[in-house]
Amino acid sequence: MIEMRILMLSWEYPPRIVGGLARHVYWLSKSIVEHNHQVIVGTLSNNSDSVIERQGNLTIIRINPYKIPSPDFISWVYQFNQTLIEDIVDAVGPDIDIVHAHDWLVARAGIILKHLYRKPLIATIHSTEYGRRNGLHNVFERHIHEVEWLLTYEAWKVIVCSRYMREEVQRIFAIPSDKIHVIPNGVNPIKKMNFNEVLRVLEKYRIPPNMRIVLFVGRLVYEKGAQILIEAIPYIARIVNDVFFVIVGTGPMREELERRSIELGVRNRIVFTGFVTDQELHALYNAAYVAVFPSLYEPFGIVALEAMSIGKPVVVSNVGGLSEIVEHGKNGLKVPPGDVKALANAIIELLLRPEKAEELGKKGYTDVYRKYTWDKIAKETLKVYEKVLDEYYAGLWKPKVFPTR
Amino acid sequence: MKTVVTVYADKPDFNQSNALIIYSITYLASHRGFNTIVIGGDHIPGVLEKIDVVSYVNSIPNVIVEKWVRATDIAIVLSEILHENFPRVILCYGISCVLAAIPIKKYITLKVVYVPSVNDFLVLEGGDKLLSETYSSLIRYSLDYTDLVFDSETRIQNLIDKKVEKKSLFTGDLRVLEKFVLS
Repeated sequence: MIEMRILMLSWEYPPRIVGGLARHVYWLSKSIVEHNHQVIVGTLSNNSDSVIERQGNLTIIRINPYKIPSPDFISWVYQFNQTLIEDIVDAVGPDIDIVHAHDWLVARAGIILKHLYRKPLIATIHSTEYGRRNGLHNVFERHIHEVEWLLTYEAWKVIVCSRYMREEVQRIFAIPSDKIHVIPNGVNPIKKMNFNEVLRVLEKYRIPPNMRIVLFVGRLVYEKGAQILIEAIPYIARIVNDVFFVIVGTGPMREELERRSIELGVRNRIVFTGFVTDQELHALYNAAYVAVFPSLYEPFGIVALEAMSIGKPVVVSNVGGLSEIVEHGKNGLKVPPGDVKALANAIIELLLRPEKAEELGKKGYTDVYRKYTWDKIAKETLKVYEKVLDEYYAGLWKPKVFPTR
Repeated sequence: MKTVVTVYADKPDFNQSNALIIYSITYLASHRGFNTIVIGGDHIPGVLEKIDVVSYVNSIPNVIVEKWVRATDIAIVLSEILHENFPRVILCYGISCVLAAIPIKKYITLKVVYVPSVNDFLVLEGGDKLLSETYSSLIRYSLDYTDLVFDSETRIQNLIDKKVEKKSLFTGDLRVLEKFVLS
């Protein structure tokens, strides 16, 4: 296999972590490099300096876009892209094989570098504005939607993380199905931790160690469905006594969720941890008896894989990527999205039948290591690159002018 | 053949002297044997069709920050021209054209001429303080990448209300512009 030089564009990259995108680009880039390819990541700096870091075949260009004031976020995004383009042209030049842009925030840079260098552009659409907002309700959302469309239009191939996302992207952007590739996200397995380490975290958050823990991890926003779990708690608590609920994550719904748990009389059975460190998150996964993800919209569902990677049984809503990860009754349980009683019953079933919970956990664990390692995801991504490059080299669209500066 | 590219970001109002001047220079260039290309939005009047090649920029719909989106569209067309026509001068009417030309300027050696547009002045002089400040900064920033500004330094300096670093040459003299483009 030929060695490729890939320019990866993402607005977040560790240590700057906003959502799941940073970790995705980090692990994908790292795994591709392990296959003897070169990756250059163009991203936003975490502070006011633009820096270039080199780690073997991985180069990270962190840019500082704040050269001009921005009247709004959209303008800031375009200014960031302008700086990204300029810094890439200065630092990297046209000696790349593939431009790979992740989501709309780097669409402009990806599209312009594609045309400037005449190199193929690949886009990964991690989620869509239409999906995130459950429709398009104002001019800003429509603008982001149009930029996403332009990115998919300009891309040689579009990568999405699930069949659900494939259907969504194909439908809302009207792009041909053979242009879309489904490559799931990889998972970083949760570390097994010793009892004392876990206990320290339980103590910090005042979680009773003698109770069985039902764990929720996710942003506290409507589409992640924490509110459905809260509604299910009274039903569960009526049947099972030694159960405690841990809600990990932050978000605009937190106050509302706390208020509702008081109204339902179950506040003493719940801890809202807010933001936790990676180490604490690992400890909480270790401590969990069952992990629950009742999302109403979920392009992929990495959190379910994280739980499965440490052998915990999962209960998920039958929606989006979660629906594809979990095979009902084999490696987890699925319930209809938004169905409080079904969710409660599924959790109760696992609490009352530990042998069933263990069996599901074991199967989930096997599935994670069979299907979702970053090495496997990198190999599938490289196959897409190779296919695109075969087509590119066979075609006429090539650079005719080379840098003179 | 040498190529001169003229880019209109805003609707070129030919009652406005700057728009008319670069149109005239482009027209002159085409008659002097230059390959001339005009890029613009969908408001370009038919008069420009007299010039050899006319490219149109199709802005994406639902544009809320037209300046930036238009700069994206223009950059795509400029990249196409870069590989097919090897431009040596880009005449930019409006600041978003200069922004679009910067990556090209960093890629190959060419001359970039900034000709302030009606819209540039309107925004700079307008009541929206933040937008006006953004424009001032954009212009100051872009001057690092321009070889010639066709307008007086005093006028620009007054407008952006800050010290203009003299990396670009300023001129309001048509003969200087003509010589710069056509030499």
